[in-house]
Amino acid sequence: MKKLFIPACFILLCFAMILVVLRLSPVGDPRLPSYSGYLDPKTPAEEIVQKGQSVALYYNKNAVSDVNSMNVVSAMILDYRAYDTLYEAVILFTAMICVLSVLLFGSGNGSGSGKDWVPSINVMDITKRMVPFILMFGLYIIFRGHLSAGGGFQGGVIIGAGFIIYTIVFGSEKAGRYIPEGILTIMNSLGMSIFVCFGLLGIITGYNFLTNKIAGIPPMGQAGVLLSSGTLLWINIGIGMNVSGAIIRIFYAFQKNADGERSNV
Amino acid sequence: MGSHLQVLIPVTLILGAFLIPILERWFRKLLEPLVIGITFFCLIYSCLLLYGIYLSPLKVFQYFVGFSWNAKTLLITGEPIGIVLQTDLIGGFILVLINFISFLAAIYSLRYVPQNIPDGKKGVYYTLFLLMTAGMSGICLTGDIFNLYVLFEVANLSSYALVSIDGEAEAVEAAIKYLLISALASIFIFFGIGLLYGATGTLNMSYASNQIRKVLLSGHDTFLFSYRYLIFASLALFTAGFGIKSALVPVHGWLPDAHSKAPSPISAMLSGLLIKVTGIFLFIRFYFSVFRIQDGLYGDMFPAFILSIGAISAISGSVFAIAQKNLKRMLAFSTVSQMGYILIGIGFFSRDGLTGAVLHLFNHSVMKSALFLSAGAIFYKTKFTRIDELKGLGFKMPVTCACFTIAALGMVGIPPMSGFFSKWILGIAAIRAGFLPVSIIFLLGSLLNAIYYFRVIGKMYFFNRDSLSVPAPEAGMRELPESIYIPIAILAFAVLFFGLGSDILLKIIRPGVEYLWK
Repeated sequence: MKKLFIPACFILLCFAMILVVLRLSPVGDPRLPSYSGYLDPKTPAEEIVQKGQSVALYYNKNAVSDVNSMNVVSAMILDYRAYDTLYEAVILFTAMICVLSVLLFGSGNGSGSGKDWVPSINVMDITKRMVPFILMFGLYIIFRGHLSAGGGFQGGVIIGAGFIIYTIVFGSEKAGRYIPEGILTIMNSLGMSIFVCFGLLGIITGYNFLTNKIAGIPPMGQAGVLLSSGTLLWINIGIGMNVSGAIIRIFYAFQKNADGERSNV
Repeated sequence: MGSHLQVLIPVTLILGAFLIPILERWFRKLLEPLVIGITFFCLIYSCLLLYGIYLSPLKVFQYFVGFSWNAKTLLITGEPIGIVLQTDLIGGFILVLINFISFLAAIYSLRYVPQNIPDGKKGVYYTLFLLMTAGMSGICLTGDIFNLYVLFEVANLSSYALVSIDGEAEAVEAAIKYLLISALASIFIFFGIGLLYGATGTLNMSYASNQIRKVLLSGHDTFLFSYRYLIFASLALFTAGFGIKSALVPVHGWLPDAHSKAPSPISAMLSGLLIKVTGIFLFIRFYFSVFRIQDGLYGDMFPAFILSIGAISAISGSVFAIAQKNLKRMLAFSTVSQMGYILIGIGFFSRDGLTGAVLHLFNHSVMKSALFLSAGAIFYKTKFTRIDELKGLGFKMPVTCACFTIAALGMVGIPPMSGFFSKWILGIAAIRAGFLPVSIIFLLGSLLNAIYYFRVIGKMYFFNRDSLSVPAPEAGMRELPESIYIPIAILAFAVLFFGLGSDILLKIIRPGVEYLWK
């Protein structure tokens, strides 16, 4: 009886949730409340864009002129709702600190070489040739976050992946020479501080936190060129630094822990 | 009207958190002064903010992050384009409480952390400490539902790691249990936010409450009618999620482990602040500001349901606490029962009930922090954790035990202490709302509280001298370092002060509660 109780609850909950979700309007329907407000469903689809009043419609219409960014998604997450993104980046920072807290000081804290296998010459050669391009691509994604798809989170992960490949193939000793722990610490903290400082610049210029265009934060180019859209560029750089640093640090922590366990055995 | 302080308080705290890893590596001596300084400035800031809100005519501060786009901050419908931080008096009041307790916990950590936490983890500890405070402060300040969720996650995520920070197996086990159950709560809340957004099309709290009102008042034949099922479902999900976070009885399993295995300053923060801010305060925020249940559009069954959950928690938490042998575990179960009291106060959905709930939230936070910090001080000095080891401790550590006794009497509800007045207001609210049986639960709960708190006090002061487990104090020996007993003494003084001067608090809470009824 007790064994059946939890599955029964689970199935009932799932059933109830499916019933509820069926009440939601279909995805992409222009009559969604989040898109057009509470417009009458008999309104023809062409009129919704004119009559509807919602934040989503406003973003779609005005993002390019308000923010000078060609990428509407970037404009939304880094300008209109940048305060959320600040704390999302903080969550990543927190997650990294949590991983360090659990792993680096745990039972398996050894200092192995980080490498107990020798990769084939092909793998080493290709890695050596690929890593600069991966890093370059990551930087490209970060710096063009306001112009095309991408941004700080994505580019940071790509840069982190480049270093992780290098570390897996050549071992943490050699990789640690290029990017020591101290630099990673600075990257994390400095990246987040850049984000916050450009937010505070809005207050210093007499507006509110994270004010972008009307506070005149440089660069103020035309929409579509690289040096445009003010804080978006700087925030992308800051997030990129934080994310890549965090990814690499988490990887190092896992690797050190695994080495420690291996050497303990 | 708004103030930059609304954004500067959490931002100062997170900037401090970003600086700490650097300071830990290169300037270790600056680490503690930075933490103390930042928490102190945030305490001052939050007092100023509360005073500003209190003096403002509308009793609320609105701050538009990002200010305006093309000279527009609102759409024609009145929906804000960006994120709005909307802080009312209750939010500001709890903000002051958060920064007050975290300042004292930071002072307490100065000597407690080097003794009880591995040396290399000091930086991690303070970083997570500041991040948790920032997350909780942000929750009190914000007026945007998704912003609230993000801050909620910042506060939760740092608390998971703080529970397990001393690296002992029991603490790690408690942290994993806490993480899994709390993640379930996060999923519920996130899904609830999704449904609410699907039904109302906005993330702003005050605008969402307008939309919800429109939906609930719509007739059967209008197209708005079917959205009400989404709203009811999201209300149910929020209730489940916040119920798990505030450890109400069917889902309280994670709390006793997590709160008793954490380091004592963190236990005080978790028990005194985190479950109140991420649980009870969000109940208040969503029930009263977003769903506006006090307007009576949800029927009579819902308040009755909330009241019964609260009553079950209040009684069974105390019953569990009586069975405990470990001091901190007993205090943790006592938290479960007090959460039940606060939820009962919310469940009346009346002005008196909410006033009592917020006052009891404050008082319980101060008292429970004092109790946990005293338990930590006893552990710091003697390594005692079990209640039967405390025999005669009242003569060896007079200051700590006196503070513990004051706070424990407050928990029981002895008149000059602050706990009495909040329970009194809650009892009056119960009678006024016509729930006479509930006031009997308050009496019964206080009796049960008396059983387990007087047991500890009795062990401390009344004992058979022959069976003394600790030697008599040596002359001239210092009881504890100042940084440990001063926070406890301040909290114990606050228990007495806000008992006799509970009018000061009511002057802030009453207009705040009145604002929620507008």
